[in-house]
Amino acid sequence: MSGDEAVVLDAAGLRKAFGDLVAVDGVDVRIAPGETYGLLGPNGAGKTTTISMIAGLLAPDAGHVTVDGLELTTRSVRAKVGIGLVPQDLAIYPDLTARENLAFFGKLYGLSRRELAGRISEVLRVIGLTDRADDLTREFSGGMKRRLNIGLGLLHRPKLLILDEPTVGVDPQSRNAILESVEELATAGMAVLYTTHYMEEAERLCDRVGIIDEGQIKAEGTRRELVALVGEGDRISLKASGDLEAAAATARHLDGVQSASARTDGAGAGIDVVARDARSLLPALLVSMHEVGTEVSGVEVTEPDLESVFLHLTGKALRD
Amino acid sequence: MRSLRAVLTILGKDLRLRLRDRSAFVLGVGAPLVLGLILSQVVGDFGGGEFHATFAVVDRDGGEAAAGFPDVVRQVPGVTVRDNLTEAEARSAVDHGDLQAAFVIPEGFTDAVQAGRSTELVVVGNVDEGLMTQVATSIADRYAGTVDAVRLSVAIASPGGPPDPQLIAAAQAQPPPIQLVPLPAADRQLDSTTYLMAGLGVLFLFFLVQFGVIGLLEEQRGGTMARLLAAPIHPVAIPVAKALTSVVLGIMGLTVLAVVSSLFLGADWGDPLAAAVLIVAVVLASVSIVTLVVGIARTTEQANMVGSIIALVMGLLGGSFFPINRGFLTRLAVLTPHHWFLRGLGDGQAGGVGDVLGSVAALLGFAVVVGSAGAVLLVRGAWRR
Repeated sequence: MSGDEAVVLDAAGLRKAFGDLVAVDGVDVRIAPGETYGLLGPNGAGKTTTISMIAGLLAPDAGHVTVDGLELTTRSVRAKVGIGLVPQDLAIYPDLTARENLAFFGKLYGLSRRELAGRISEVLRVIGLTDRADDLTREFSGGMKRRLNIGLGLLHRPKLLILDEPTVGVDPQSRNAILESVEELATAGMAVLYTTHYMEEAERLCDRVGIIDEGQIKAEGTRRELVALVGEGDRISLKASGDLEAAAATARHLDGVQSASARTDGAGAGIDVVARDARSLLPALLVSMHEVGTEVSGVEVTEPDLESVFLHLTGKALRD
Repeated sequence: MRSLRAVLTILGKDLRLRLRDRSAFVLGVGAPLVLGLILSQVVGDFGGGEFHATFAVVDRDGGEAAAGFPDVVRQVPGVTVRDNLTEAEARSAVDHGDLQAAFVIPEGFTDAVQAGRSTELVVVGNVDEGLMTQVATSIADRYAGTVDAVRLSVAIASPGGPPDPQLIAAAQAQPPPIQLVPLPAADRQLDSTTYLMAGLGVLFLFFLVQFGVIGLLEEQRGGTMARLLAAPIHPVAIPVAKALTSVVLGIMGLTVLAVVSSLFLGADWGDPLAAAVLIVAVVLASVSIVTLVVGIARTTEQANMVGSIIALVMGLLGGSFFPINRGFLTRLAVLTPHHWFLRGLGDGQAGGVGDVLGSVAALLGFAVVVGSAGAVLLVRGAWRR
């Protein structure tokens, strides 16, 4: 994002050490309204320490955080009103009902009695727990608890929603419901800071991604920007027959093609093409193959993902 | 204003949780009641408090020397006399524990006394009521001594002649040289039921108040502390609310115990206002200790363990189970809130708030000194990490 855009979160130069261990070292994060920012990194990369400072739970050793223009410290009251936190660990009271949990935290955020009743109903509907509102949460399934955990962060309509690995240990159905909820919130204009070590979640949800490792942001941008940053191209694999060497030579002359080679291994024969943008190249490539008399019977496009970017930047896999 | 509202909101939530799981009620009221009831049956009266016993007098003689005996027994403070039973009924009642002992005056008792012959006054005791049997035997000894003195007086006054009935009556009317009298009310100690209820109440109070402050570590372990710290409230509102939860639970627990033990077990907590002031003071003192423990502890388990050890040691030392009357330990006992609470209750038995102010001052002093250290440690404590 450019420096002129409105920002909900502006965290600059965050640093935090625990004894000799520097957990976070010079992290900058800026998020605009309606934007979902993913902090992607393996366990122990510094994600949770970073969001603890951004949520006002932990005082940074250096750097500063502003939320909606208000300076944030661990004692800030006004700035914290703008933040909704969904911690990684379930943060609900098992011996209170879902409604009582929501009412308790709603009161802490200063919602009036009337406002609270309306918001509780609304949040229960969003997280799909209206029918179970008056059950003790200890009786809930893991997925239901996770959804309530998210609902508690949404209750007071925060400007910035911080979700710390909200889908850890969640069944696929509940995970999908959670991801859909996050997409809806961003569409509604909420700024979302989403930490995860699931690459597919970051790719699906995030407008921009910061890759964090060993307490530092190694790279930041949209998925495409990150892929471009590490110089990896898309791969097009054509299953084809005919003069494959001639076809590969033709392909190399097309705009955007980085390399093309023939594959002559019997049933798997064809052409492998590496290009900057496979999707826009594909029509021209198929036309040129037809023109040189190559018969194409199958196409497979592989775009480089964040996993490979992460591997390239850090030398290790996301789940290490 | 926002911080006060936050404190009250957290307090309300914590009280709801505690009342919902009932463990606080069981620990604060149920346990001391049940344990006190059992101990009062096992230990009986130990504190120099009021003595209660029911004795039967079976007069099979019907003569002048036997006629005065029931009144002699009645003069013993705390003793109720039944003199309408047959010997068999009295023996049966003693065996069944309905009476603590029985006296049987045999036929010919008066004749034997007047003739200067040896006779007997039978004391029927119960093997399970050894102390009461001893008391009854002492009464019988005393009466025998009186009768002997009368006989000697009469014998000296009318040597060789028949006993003069007027002389006998005059000798019997003389008061005994030593009489049992109740101590002045202001100096009375607590009766055993009240002592045990109050002592055990304070002992369990130390466990009860842990429910509030230790909640800080439970919030941390349960993950909810992060959400509380992220909320727009001053962080200090959280430990303040937890300490207040301890105070409310402690006052509720001891008050319910006092009311229930007074209504159903005959405990006497003295002047209600004095007892209330003492309860508040001892609760503050106990919360101060728990605050210190939680300020030091890093986990709930650690806090529970250290808190339990302190509660038991202080309870024993402070006399929660029985009074401590050994020199060195007596001096150590003054370091415990239990000692001052029980002493205050004793002082307030026949007085009012003015009589318990010394104990209240000691308890509040304890609360301020220990609580200040605890508050500093608590604010910096492990619950924030």
